Amino acid sequence: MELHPVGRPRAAVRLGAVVVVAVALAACSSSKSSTSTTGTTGGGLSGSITVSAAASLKETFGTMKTNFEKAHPGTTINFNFGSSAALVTQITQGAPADVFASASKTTMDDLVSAGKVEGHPEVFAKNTLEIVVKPGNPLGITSLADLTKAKTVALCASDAPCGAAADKALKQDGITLPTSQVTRGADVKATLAEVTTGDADAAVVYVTDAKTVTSSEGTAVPIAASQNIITSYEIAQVKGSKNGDLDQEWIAYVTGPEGQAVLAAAGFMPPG
Amino acid sequence: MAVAAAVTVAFLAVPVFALITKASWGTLWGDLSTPEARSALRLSLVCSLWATALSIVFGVPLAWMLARSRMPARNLVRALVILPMVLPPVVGGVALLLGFGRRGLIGGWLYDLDGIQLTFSTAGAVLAETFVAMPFLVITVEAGLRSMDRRYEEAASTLGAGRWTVFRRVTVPMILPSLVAGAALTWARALGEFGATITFAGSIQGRTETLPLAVYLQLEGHQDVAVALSLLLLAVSLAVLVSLRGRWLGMSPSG
Repeated sequence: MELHPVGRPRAAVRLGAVVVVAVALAACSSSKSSTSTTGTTGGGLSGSITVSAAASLKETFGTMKTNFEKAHPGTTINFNFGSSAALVTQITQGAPADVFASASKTTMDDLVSAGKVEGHPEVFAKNTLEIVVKPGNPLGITSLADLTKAKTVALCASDAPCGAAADKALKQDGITLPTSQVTRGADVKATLAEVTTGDADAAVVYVTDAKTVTSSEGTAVPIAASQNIITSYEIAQVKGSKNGDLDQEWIAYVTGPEGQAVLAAAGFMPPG
Repeated sequence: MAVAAAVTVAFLAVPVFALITKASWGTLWGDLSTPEARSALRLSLVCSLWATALSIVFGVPLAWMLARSRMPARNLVRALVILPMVLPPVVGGVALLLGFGRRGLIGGWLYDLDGIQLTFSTAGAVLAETFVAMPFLVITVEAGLRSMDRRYEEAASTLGAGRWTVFRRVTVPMILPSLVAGAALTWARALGEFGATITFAGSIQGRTETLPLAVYLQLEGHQDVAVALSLLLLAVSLAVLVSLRGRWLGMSPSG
């Protein structure tokens, strides 16, 4: 109690520290979304946006980011990659994404139904499935039906676009893999890693992901078109985005000739 | 001081409160009764109990050696024991893969020997959980062994009891509170393990998809189910905490 006169200023210092920390945290979180004005003078775009995109777009969007930022100095495109289904959950729960690029129409439709899409989504690419096995294909897997030979098959989670597509492809060909043989990955990159770095014998991923695999990591086994599934990639601006101009510019870039060229080089099919 | 403490309490309480209030209580029973949820619960219980049992069987001798013997490099061994506690779980998973995977240090040899594969198996999930949870048991029991009164052991041996009898009938009853607390912490840690399990054992329904993994995968489109499973884990964690009150890490019970 004799410390009382000293105690009061101490409490004020502590309160001040708490306030400073709180302000710093708030500043941290708000700097992610754009803080600059839209439609600046001189035709220059600026600011930064967060693009939540399907994991399979990692490489292509990375390339596009480098080219885009070079063409539009002062802009920053930040990425949040993951399974489209998980990204929709994040956005509907309030995650600050400005643009959403999905690997399926279904997941984009989910975001539209949640009222989180500004305008209309645009299809910008299509993809199809491929099997990746251990280097040299030791089990001799040549088709989806041969997957029953594998001890462990990696598929994406059923709600992820690649998982839904894989399940659909297997079902329509009448192939049933016992659940004890199937390990589910959260997104297509995690699923691919089960074969390239893990002990899974085969994984069903996209053609574009299979293309990134080196010969020492794995071997790609194509799936006949008659047995395969085609998935459509869609892109849209998220409602509540603070830099609509930059969002639209990025969307235009992805759907325009430069973006399309990058996607085609990676093995994506055109949207048309 | 009080203001900072209040902010901290709020920080810790808000997520827990949100989990409870935002759950879909109407569909809770249905969400927890699906085949996936039931298999995840069964697997979680089986794997965590096995991990706890293995931690006791292998951890108590190690705790004894650390507490009682003049083992060389004792500090090094203790550091190794504590390592899984501070290592990020997913890093633990990667390390386990490199050590016990099909192409791993020991795992490769096991595979060539008899086709034994630990990855993507329930045994693999138990291995991953034991790796991260055993340190809790070793540390707690070692503390108990160090702090117990050794005169009773000495009295027992002067009365003619052999070493194993002394251990079984004098030491163990005396360190029982530490052993129980250690086992409870170990079990809770094993139950909640995610990073090492998903990296080493994958997520196979009915085989390796424990509750935390099920929550992670269900978040993609079945948020209600994910929240229901999370509530279940929260309830279990609270039960462990309540049962441990005051007995944390060898402290004498207050309740």
